[in-house]
Amino acid sequence: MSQLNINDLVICLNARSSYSELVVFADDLEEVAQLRIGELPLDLTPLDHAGQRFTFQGDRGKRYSFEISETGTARLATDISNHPQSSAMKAMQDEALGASASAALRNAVAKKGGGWAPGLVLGILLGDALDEDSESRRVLTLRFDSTKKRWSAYDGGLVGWMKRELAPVDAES
Amino acid sequence: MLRPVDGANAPRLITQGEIEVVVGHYREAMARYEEAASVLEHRLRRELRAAAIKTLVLSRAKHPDEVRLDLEYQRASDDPAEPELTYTKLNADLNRSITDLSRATVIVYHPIDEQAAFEMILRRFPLADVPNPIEHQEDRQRGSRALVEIDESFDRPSLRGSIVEVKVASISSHIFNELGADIGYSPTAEEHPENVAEGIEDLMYLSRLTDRAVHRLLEARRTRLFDPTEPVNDPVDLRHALEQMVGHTLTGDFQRLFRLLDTVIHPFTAGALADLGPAETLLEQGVQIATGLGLHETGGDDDVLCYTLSLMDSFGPEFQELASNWRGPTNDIKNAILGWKKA
Repeated sequence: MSQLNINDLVICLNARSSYSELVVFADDLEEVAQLRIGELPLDLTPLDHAGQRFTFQGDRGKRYSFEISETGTARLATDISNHPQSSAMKAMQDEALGASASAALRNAVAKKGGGWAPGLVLGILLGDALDEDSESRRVLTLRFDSTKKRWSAYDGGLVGWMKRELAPVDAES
Repeated sequence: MLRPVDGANAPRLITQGEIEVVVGHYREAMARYEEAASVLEHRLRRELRAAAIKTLVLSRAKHPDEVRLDLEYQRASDDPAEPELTYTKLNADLNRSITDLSRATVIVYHPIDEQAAFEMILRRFPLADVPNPIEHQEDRQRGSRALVEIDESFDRPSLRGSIVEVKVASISSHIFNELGADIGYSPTAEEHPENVAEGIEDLMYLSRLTDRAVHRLLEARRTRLFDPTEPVNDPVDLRHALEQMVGHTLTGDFQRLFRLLDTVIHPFTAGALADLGPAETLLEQGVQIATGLGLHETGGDDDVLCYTLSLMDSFGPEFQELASNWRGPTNDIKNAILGWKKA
């Protein structure tokens, strides 16, 4: 069952200005579940035919880029420079919308495995490189408390796994 | 009126019967010595893990038969005119006369870590107020020994004042020390049959050879971290990488530092550590910040705490959020992080 919506990601990004992106597992997001059954949430504007890239319109009109990866993750970013307004698509086939979301959900569930703790929602904030030449960047691993609707820094035993699954280094280079 | 015979109250050598009485008293109180050793074992394991020093930690109380042998040996070498060991003294405080009734053994994986482990013990545990509380063996047997006292910091009032002997040795030295002593090591090896003496010699050389092989293995692992793309996988890697950067051993809670840095840097590699800045400079800055926070007493000899404080300008809010979620008893590094304020 989805325990997050994109507004929860927006709140987290706005509260932590050192970071520009937040990545979570796709199966935790309500909007991904909607897309899987062919429903396009009102705040999302699709930017491609694959149903992977979107623009998200926040409460105060601020826009964010939103991407679903078939590897099982969903990413919200403050930088929308590579998402020009003109490329927004006005209409899309339901099947196309659902295909990527469906693959993302399936892979997210597979990554977590059968023994996943119910209610455990994790995410990772991504920021700038440590310095100009650095190949490493600032991040912050997080846990979401769905009861209190609050994100908090997480340094438990899943940190290494989260970093590998949510922000694989090979995929970024 | 009867008058005491001259010299009746003068100290005299302990008799065999008195030794049996003392051993009997010890047998009755043995559970307390077992417990003291066990309490120290748990604390040692926690501290060594935090310091990222790989070890095996064992503990036990001395067997009553060993106590008897020890007392007989001491009596044999005692001065009958002015004996050190008397029944009165043993009855008053057995633990201060025989300081190894409770024992803990720290067996380090890597010979090079023996010194670091021993220094950590001297820094984090109170030494007993007895003659020669520290001893190093460098001849045939190799290892270090400290006599630690269970004080109020252990939160065990019933054990307060107990002395625990802590021995530190590498795995191979431990094997030689134990087997050599058990089979019959003595300084005059001629007393043993030739084949026993040869066997003990072989064991000693084998132990030295193993130490050298393990040392080479460790060095190979350490030099891997010269490559900036190499991941820092655990607190031990972190300690090695930082020690390489500064050129000497470092102290402190590497387990917590690893948790902090692994949470805020991706990928966490040897190169990422270098990107944070020269470790030596950061350590110097950290000492100044620790002094400013009034942590000079604890911060001055805690490299990890100082290094962490020097990173607070970059990661202060994140570290404070993480530290505030740490469970368990409070500690120096948590206090320092939570007490830090942005200048």
